[in-house]
Amino acid sequence: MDDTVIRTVNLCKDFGGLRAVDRVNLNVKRQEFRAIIGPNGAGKTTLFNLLTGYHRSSSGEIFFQEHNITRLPPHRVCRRGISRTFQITSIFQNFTAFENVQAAILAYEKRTIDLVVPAAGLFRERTGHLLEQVGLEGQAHKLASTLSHGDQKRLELALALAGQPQVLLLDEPTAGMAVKEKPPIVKLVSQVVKDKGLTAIMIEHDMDVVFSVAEKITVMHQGRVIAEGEPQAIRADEQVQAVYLGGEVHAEGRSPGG
Amino acid sequence: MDTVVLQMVSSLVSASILFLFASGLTLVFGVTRILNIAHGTFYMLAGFIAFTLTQVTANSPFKFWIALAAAPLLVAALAGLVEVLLLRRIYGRDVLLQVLLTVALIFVFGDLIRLFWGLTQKNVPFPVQLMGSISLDGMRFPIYYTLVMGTAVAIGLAMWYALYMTRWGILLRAATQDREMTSALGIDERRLFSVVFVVSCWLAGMAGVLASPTLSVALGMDMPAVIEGFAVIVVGGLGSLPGAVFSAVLMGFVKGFGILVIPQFALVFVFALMAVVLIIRPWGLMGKPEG
Amino acid sequence: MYSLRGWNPLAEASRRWFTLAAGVAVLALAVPWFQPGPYLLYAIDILIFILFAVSLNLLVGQTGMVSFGHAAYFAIGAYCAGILVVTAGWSMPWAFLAGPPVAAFAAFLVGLFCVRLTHAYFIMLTLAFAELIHAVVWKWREVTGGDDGLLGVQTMPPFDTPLGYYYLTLVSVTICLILLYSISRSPFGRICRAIKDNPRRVEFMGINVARHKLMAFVIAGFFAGVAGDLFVFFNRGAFQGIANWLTSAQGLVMVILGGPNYFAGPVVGAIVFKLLDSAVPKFTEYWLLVLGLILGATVLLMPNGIVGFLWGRRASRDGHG
Repeated sequence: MDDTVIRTVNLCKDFGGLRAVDRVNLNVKRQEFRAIIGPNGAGKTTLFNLLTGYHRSSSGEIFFQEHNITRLPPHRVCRRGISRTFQITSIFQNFTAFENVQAAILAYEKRTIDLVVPAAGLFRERTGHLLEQVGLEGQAHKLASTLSHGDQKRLELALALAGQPQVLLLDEPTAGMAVKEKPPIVKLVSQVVKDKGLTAIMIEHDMDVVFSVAEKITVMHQGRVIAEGEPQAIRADEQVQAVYLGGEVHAEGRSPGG
Repeated sequence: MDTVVLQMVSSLVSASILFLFASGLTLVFGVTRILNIAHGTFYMLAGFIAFTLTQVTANSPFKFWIALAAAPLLVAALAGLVEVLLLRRIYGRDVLLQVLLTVALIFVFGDLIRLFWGLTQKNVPFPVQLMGSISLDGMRFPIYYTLVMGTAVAIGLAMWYALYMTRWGILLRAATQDREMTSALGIDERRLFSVVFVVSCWLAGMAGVLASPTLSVALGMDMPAVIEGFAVIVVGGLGSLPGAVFSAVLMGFVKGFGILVIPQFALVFVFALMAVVLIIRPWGLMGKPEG
Repeated sequence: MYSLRGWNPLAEASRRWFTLAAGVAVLALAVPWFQPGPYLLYAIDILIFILFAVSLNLLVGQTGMVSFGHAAYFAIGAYCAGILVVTAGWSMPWAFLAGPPVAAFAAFLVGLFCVRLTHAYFIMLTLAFAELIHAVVWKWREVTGGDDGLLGVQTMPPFDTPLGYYYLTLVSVTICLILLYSISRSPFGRICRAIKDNPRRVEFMGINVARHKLMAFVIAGFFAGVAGDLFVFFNRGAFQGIANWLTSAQGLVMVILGGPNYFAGPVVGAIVFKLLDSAVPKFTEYWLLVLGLILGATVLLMPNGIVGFLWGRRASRDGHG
């Protein structure tokens, strides 16, 4: 099991009386591209929150490359090498795209308690390079709040990559996008993940996107993993079909509940 | 032993006033997410209005009752105006702006009170019908105390009933928990906020009038009151009504017995309690963790 | 090469600003010759509160922490230095140096409690701690003089004359403002602004947000302590009122008047506030009423403050934004 990068053991999370995540055992291998699908309320985002230390697990453990990270707070988890994007884009609206990425690099480089050197001149090359990688070099000077939705998603990806992570958690990277806006983003994500040799775990509702990039799919329902396997197997799985309101898991559109 | 009993009763009276005051504060925060620092100013204003009303009706044996009925309503009406004209514009905006708007209210109302009533302390008379004292265990307590405690209990029960037993109340509590639900449930958020703000200032007004015979109504009494109110809702948990009850009682006793120990510094015990609670449970004893 | 053009209130200072700053500096140095006497004293007071307001804005405008108890650290700086002189017989320079670290330490202790709290709790707790400190300052008669205040704080030549003290204050405040400005432009300052913008994202960038907030709180407390130092030697004493909620509130008013999103905002705000403070009572005794109305108007109509208003107009005139 050398190859396992993320491993959870009977991971559970209760909110009051509600069990949001129920004995999830996840095993993600190095450089694997895993998709997590399931109807709303299945516990997918809660799972991400647990993995990144945003929520404390009620029981169970999380291992990152055989280190137990169960009790670590988010900033520690990030430092270990797990980065994340959010369903509702989480960037710095009042900074320019350039300053956004620069801040992320400053954080990664642990330059954040420097009280003296003007920040504007630091890490400009790397910032520019990262902006290029996500296709935002032309928008570097624009205020993040004025960027289009798609560009904001690119920016968030850049922020997640600035930390040079080994694992990238993507929470609905195409959420809120029109159908024709999605392919460039999906292509970008897939390319970046491949170029940098990252392990990726992606929550998605759009089955087109899922089937185009995922190597393995985990299906969640009501906090539990009800199926896991290669895309073709999942598509044919009866339980999965039942969960998606009795219909087939189509490749043409969004799944119900999405 | 006598002192202890005396302090206990006195603490319960304090707790009653604190509850009325703090419940309004916590209610407003729970629903609108605004910390109304001017809450104490409405409390103070009610005291001054009560004074004037009792002056105007000086010959009536019911002057106190008139003041008790009318002053909080007048304060609540003013609160309604303030909400519609001013507060509405800062919902959902920067915390700094919200705080400073309430500070502006404190300044403006404070000086308007000075304009109308001057700088001297005012005294609101006890209700004639409740003068004198009753005997309990050989100790004498002002009968008036029973009014204060009784009113607090009655209002507390009324609020409990309204919030837990009526449809409207259940919706309001849902709105406190989950903001997005309000429109889904068909609640007019604007009206909800207005009603909540008006009711909370009415509560502050009631606290103000009930407290006024026992202390002097004076400029500047708003800030110590609101700071105590903050302590109560911090310990009880922001937005939690049961927390406010529990915490008001707790605070009443801490203050009451703190005064016995260090008269000058009873405040220290209050703060110590706040600090301890926040370390153990950063969202108060009965509050909800945010996020 | 990536340039930082575009509407960004925190962008590099243009030549215009440098010229303006230079002009202000010349004026400031020349004040004693143009406006001797009471105006000099007045200028000292303004400088002290400029520092107070700018230190507060490190928290409010830069990091998004609305502290309602900043006066406490101002007072601690003042009383600490004053008590060392009056009771322990220290000379002015040593007492002066001791004030800010003590204030910073107090800020550290309070900050430990407060920085992890969400907005509303933070406001209430900073206010509560400030009231506690206020109560201590007021009631501990033996040490602080209680209601009568701390008196007899001796300065030393050449700072015992208005002119000498003016230059001391001018130099001290200028140095502190330069330090605070450099902090605001530093990586730490950037992270503070990021924390204000989106603390969750900052956390998920690997930064311990609470620790950085604590640092900001301590730094702000330190500089408030410096302002307090300058105050106590200026007034040859201190009184309990400098620790009360009103002083803290005034700091916040200065911040919003000038504009919390600009370094120069609280500078302008402090000047305007102090000018109003001296001018308005000449026309009416209801100064708080006027202040409240102005504050309300600013919050509702000009929430970016004077500097924000002027900068915004210039930006649209120049075709930016």
